[in-house]
Amino acid sequence: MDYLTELENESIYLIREAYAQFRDIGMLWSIGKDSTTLLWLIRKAFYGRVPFPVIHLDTGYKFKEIYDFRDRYAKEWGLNLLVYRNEKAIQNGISPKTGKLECCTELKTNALKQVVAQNNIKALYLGIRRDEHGVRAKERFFSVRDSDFEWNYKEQSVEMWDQHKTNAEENEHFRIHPILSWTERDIWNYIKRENIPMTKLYFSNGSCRYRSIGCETCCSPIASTADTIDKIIEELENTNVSERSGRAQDKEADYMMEKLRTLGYM
Amino acid sequence: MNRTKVSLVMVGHVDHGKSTLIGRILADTDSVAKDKMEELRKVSKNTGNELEYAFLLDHLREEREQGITIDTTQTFFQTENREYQIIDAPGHVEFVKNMITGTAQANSAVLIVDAVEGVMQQTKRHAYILSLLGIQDIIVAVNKMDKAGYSEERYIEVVKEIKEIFEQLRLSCKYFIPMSALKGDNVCKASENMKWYKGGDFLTIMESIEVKQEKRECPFIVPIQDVYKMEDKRIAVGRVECGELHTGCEIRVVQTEQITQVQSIEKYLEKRSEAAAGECIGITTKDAIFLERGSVVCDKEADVQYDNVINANIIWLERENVQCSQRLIMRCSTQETACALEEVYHKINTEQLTEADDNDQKMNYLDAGRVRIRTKNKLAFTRFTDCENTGRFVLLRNNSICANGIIL
Repeated sequence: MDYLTELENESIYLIREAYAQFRDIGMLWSIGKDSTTLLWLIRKAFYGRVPFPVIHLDTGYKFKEIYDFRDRYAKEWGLNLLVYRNEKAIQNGISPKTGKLECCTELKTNALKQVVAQNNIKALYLGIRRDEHGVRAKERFFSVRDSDFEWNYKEQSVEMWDQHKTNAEENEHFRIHPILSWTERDIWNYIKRENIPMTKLYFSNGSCRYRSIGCETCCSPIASTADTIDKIIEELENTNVSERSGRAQDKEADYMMEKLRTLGYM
Repeated sequence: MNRTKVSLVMVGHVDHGKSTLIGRILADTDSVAKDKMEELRKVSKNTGNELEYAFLLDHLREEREQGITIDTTQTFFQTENREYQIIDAPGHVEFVKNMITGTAQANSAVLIVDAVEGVMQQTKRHAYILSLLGIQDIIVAVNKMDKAGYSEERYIEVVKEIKEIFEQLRLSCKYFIPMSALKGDNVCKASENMKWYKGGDFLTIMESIEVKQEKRECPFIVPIQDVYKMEDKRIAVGRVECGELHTGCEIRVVQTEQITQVQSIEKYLEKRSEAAAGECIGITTKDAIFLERGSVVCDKEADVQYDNVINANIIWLERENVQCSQRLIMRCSTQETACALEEVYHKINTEQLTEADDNDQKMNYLDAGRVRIRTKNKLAFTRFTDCENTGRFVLLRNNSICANGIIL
């Protein structure tokens, strides 16, 4: 079995395990390459019909291309799309200018808390990967969050041989990470193999492209002429810069990602 | 893009240099992004150290401040022919659970031993865990040779110690390498300081470990994960754990002894007439038979037992001990049932690798042993050596995995 097929099978197994354990499940779709690949795998696992809500946390600061892509494919793939905004925080003027840690926490983490509570969600599929960040590399496939959404990374449960912790206390929820073992290159090779649609933000406009996308305010493009999937893969084979170097929340201060994640960030 | 995947775990006693070795390999093979390397220089300086290769893996604040690995982590790098998934496992006794979580995801292992300290408690325990998890491809790295004066004599002594343990555990090992992960001796290039050593450097040896193949030759087994009701059919989904199947082939449901045929093999947007070990598939059957999560579907000839008595080797992972007849939950493939230990025999102290002298029918923290388990409901299972995924299980108490075992 080739390497990509092996990864695909690992992910589909995890996706089906989680659904067998939690019928009150949802998926977070940021419209980026990872969660769109995850959505593709989920559609494969369930034979084209996604049997749970697909949630988009809208900070209001996303790229226009993201909104267009979301609306087009939500319709084409028949998704039960749930768009959620932390309106109260937005009205209170929270923005990247008032502080990035606070902004991410309010508009993403707290928005997520609200949507989980309102929809009685017990588990959430997320498209995070170990090779993105050293703190994410410590994750489990099934990872519990307490009622404050805190991640107790010092006391993670045993997980082995496709057996996971699956019983949560009241008000706890699980994060399910089916593509944890994929690398950035695997994602692009799979996008190519499966012909998965992607927003054009990832492709060079002639001089630059985005390698990782989130809010327009906190993402910087990289200099690149890669305007096709093949060229992106070639670029990644030769790059010497990390994937999330353009993402502000990864490095504003030491341990920023760890702080964000213990507070419930993805 | 036809590289094969190799999952390699680093195990060994605390401070023998697991994270450092991984960091060193990443740095010497230019697998670390420039900005990450700069970040590393900066943080290393803050702690008043030279370049801390281990920080490439140890990302948690507590890990860096205390200079230890708390939780298992993974990193990735590629060579011309292979995609490596390198798993770092903590060496401290406090974190054996995390070590097992990491090691269970690997198909090969590197056991690291400090040349000065030699074999220590966790060296023994980790070697035992490798044998319990069925990991057979092991490289032994005798590390910190710089501190042992690059002495061949010392190296031979340490190798002898390890060979004795491996013999006891029936582990095989083809590769022993003297190295210094910190200085780079024999990591990615031959050492100038140990000309007496004629074997290859670590990277070369790593590239030559055999890649495990799926078991396709034996009769097939598919434990059912779930059943999806589609508009016009019911699809039972699961993973082929061994063997191959095709449409029209006869299948047996272990629990009900019903026999029918595979009507179709279902993969989204694919027309399939066959599937093999490792694949997640769906099936429909010719006759309308009842399947649910936990049903085990197999070839008529497959050697699957259906019983409520299981003999196994287990290791107990919780601080609070377990006694015979205490209620536990067993999960084996997609099945779940209540169970209890019925008898404990051959209890082994994993720190000393000696047989425990008490036969108190209890298992304490990190005890291993041969046990007989009685399950409430009958279970469909195989021996571990026949099919890995249907021959191993975990035990749960209070919703947490507290032991793992392989069926004999």
